[in-house]
Parts: sequence; structure tokens; C-alpha cells
Amino acid sequence: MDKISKLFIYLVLISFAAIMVLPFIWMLSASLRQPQDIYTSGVKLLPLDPNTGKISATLNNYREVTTQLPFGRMFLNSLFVAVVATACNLFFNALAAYAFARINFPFKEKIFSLMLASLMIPFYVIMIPLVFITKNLGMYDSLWGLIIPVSMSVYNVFLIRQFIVGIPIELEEAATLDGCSRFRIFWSIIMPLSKPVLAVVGIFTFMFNWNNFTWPLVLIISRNNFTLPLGLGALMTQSGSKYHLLLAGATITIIPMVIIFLIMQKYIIKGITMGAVKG
Amino acid sequence: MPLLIYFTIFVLLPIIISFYYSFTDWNMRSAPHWTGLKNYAELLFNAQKQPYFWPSLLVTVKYIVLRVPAGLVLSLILALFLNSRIKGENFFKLCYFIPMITSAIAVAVLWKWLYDPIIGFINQFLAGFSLPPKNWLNDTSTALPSIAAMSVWQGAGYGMIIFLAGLKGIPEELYEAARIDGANAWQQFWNITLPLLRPVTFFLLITTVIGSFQVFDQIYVLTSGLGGPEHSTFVYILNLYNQAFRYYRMGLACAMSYILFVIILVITWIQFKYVPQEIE
Repeated sequence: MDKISKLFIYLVLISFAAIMVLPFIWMLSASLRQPQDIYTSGVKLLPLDPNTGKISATLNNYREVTTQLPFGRMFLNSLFVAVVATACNLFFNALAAYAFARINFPFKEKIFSLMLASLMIPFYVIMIPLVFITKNLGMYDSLWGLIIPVSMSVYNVFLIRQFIVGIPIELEEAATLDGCSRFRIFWSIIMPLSKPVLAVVGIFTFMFNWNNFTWPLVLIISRNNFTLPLGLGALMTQSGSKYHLLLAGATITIIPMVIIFLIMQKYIIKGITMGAVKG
Repeated sequence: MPLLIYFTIFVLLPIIISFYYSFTDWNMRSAPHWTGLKNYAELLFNAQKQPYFWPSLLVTVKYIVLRVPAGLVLSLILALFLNSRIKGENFFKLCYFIPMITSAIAVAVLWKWLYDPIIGFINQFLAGFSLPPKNWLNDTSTALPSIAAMSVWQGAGYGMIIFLAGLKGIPEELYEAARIDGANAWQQFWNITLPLLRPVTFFLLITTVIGSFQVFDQIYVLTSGLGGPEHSTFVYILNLYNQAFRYYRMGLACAMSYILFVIILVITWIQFKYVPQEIE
């Protein structure tokens, strides 16, 4: 390839990288500036004072936003929901996947195809009855109500099953001869060997729950049970164009996910090519 | 088996209940009252009672037309350029990915700020070229395209990674053979890359169309649930949400959800039937 087209390619790639990333840096920088500066001068890479040109970062916007909505509490709620939902998904989905991969039981094939067919149904079809059922289980407006209905996923069972089918069965046969129970085999052989697929399922379940908006929107009423996206949405309707608050709130919502992404990026990219993205 | 219990309570049961309620008049407080096909008839044929049913479908289709082709082309360009043996492939991947892992609500906050008519970056950028400012999100002609652009921006990294996986699967020998036959870069792209990417493109087309049909979060928070200005961003799911949780017409909303399901099935079927997906 000649030099000019190579240069052109780099130019396009770099400009798009800037379009994708700069808005986040401006946002972080703006959230650290004095409120009046956000409204009087344009976007800045660093939180600079417009008069002196020196860096002047402040956490005032963050302090003020926590007086509007309990952001600390919301952060913990989001974390709790995402962590517990992910743990449930990993354990129960792997257990079910193991059963579908290795154990024979009546109507196994029929049940499995019925479950796969249910993946065609959009979430909005089941949303209203789901609110009703969760209400009748006494979990309306509670964090458990956010967790239990998404504590398992047919799609994840399918992914893990495909992986387990590929694990050589000889390992399990040897363990059975040594007198291991089914659960013991599952826990000490299958789970450790399935780490790659479990990492993918785990990270996507966490991301889905951390970012989920629709389900908390229809289920949660009290501010104390808000998750971050729900609170941020409420802040948007409540305080219109108060960007110094909105940008601080958005930064709190985004940062944890970005950190996890930077640590787990390899699994995220793998997960997408497995088709493991919901929504 | 926990999965069976879970599946019955939280998937199977809701699907059946939803179907049953779609034939009833129900507000979630009193018992449902059987009305037969009345909900469906009201939605489809009674424009006086449901003035926004058909318009909301039209808005959704417009959104898909704005969102999907632009998204596919952008993702394909990024993937092609990333696949041309350049340095820093992983760095670029990371950059294109960050919007994708971010909550749609946080992205909506960010873009509301960028689109702001007075202090927003986009108008200031345009002013640099002496172009007139626009009231992006509050003008009926620009609101929907602006939201679609935001979604294209957020989803580009996802499409790119799928295309990239497809590109890595094309054997290098094909290009070598083509070069020996004297094919230029454009001919190689047109005759090898594009046809071989068909299955991947088809997968992305279907998933993005289905996803875009259910667009809701961003529009809900950007328009305070109203789909404004003047219903120009009032998409199908926003209508469904309002029927259910603003007017408490749960039965009607269930009927809407089943109409959505049928539409998605039909679209998927048409795409399977008429969009070529096999490699010749």
C-alpha cells in the first residue's frame, strides 16, 4: 500500500477515535469546572479557569448533585443489583447449561427448543405481566425485584451449553470413577474449565444490569431504590439544562463501566463476536 | 431445576398472560374484563381514539431508515480501515468501543449538552465555519435525525467488531489471486470483500433493525416521555409505555406489544426471504 493511502487511513481512524472519545473527556473536564464556566466558555480538554488559564478543578458539582438525588445510595444500589444478578446468572445458567449438555431427562430437546424460541419475543411483550408478577411476589419497588426476573437468561444458558459440549467427557468419567458426585464434577471440573465463556457471560450481564433503564423505570418508585441510570433520567426531567449537575451525574454513571471495560476489554471484544449482546 | 422454575414464572407465564390481557380491558388494579378484539381494532382502525398509533409507526420507520444504513456503512468503513495492517489496531478498537459500553441515559445527557442551542459544541463548531446555529433537539425537522446520529455514534463500535471478525475470516489467498489477475483495490473490495461479508452484513442488518424498532430509553429521557417536539420523535415503544404507565391501559399496551412482535417477525421473514445472504 502506498504512503498516501496509508496516511489517509490513519487520518480517518484518528478523527473517528477523536469523535468517539473527546466528548467523554470534555464531559469529565466540564464536570470538574466551576458551574459558571461551563455556561460561559466552550468545551475544554482540561478544567481550566477562563481568566487565569490555570487548572482549577473542583468537586462542587458532584457535591451539589448529591443534594438533588442520593447519588451515593444510587451507586451502591446499581452495584448491588449488577453484582448479585451477575453472580446468579453465572451459577444458575452454568448449572442449567451443564444439565442440558450432559444429563438426560424427559423432554430435554423439546424444552430446549421452546426456550430458544422464546428468545424471539421482544422484552416489551412480557414487560407488563412481569411488573404484575413481580408485584404479586411482593418485590415491587425493591432491589430484589430488579434482580430476580433477570437472575437467569436462556441466551446465556445456550452460550455456556455450547462451550460445555466441547469439553472432553473423559475428564468427567474419570471423576465419576473416583466417586465424585454430579455437583462436585460441575463445581470442580466444569466451572473452572468454562472460565472463558463464563467471563464473557459475566461481563455482559454486569454491563446489561448496570446500564439497564427500562426495567427500573417501570418497577421502582422510591428514590432510595433508584439505580444510577434511573436517577440520571429523573435528573434530566427534573433539572432540564443544568448541565453542571447532569454532567457530574453522567460521569458517576459512566466511570465504573469504563474502568471495568479497560480491565476486561479482551473478554468484551470476544463476547461481541460470540453474539453475546443483548438489546 | 431452577432454570425451569425461572423460565416458567418469568418468561413463559408473562408471554401467555400478555397474550390473554391483549384481549381485555385492564388497568392493573381491578380484574381484567374480556373485550375480544376491541383493543386491536381500536389501535388499527380508530384514528380518533388512537391518533398516534400509525404516526408513531411511521416515526419509528423513519428512525430505522436514518439509523441503520448510516450505522452499517460507518461500521464497515472503520472495520476495513482497521483491517489494513495498521499500527495501533487495539488502541483504535478501545476508542470506538467506549460509547458502546456506556449507559444510553449517560449518552443522552452528553449529547443533550453537545446539541445545546447556545452553549453546545456542535453549534459553536458550525459557527467556526460561519454556519447558522440550529435548535437540534427542539426542531421538528432535526430532532429525529439528531437522535439517530447519536445512536449511530454509540453503536458504531459494535458493528465494527462484527465486520472485523468477518473480514479476518476472508482468506488472504483470494486477494493474492485477484492481484495477479490485475484487479485494483476497488475491484477487490467490490468482488471479494463485499460478497464474502454478506452473512455478517445480514446478521447486523437484522439485529440493528430489530433493536432500532424498540428504541426507547434515549428518546424517553430527552423528551421527558413526550416524544416531542410535536410528536416528531414519538416512537412506537414510547406510545406503548404511555398507554401502559401514563393512562393505565395495560390491555391495550399488551395488544401493542403483540403487534410489535408480529411486525418484527414479518420484517425478519422478509429479510430472510429477499435479502441475499448466501455466498455465490
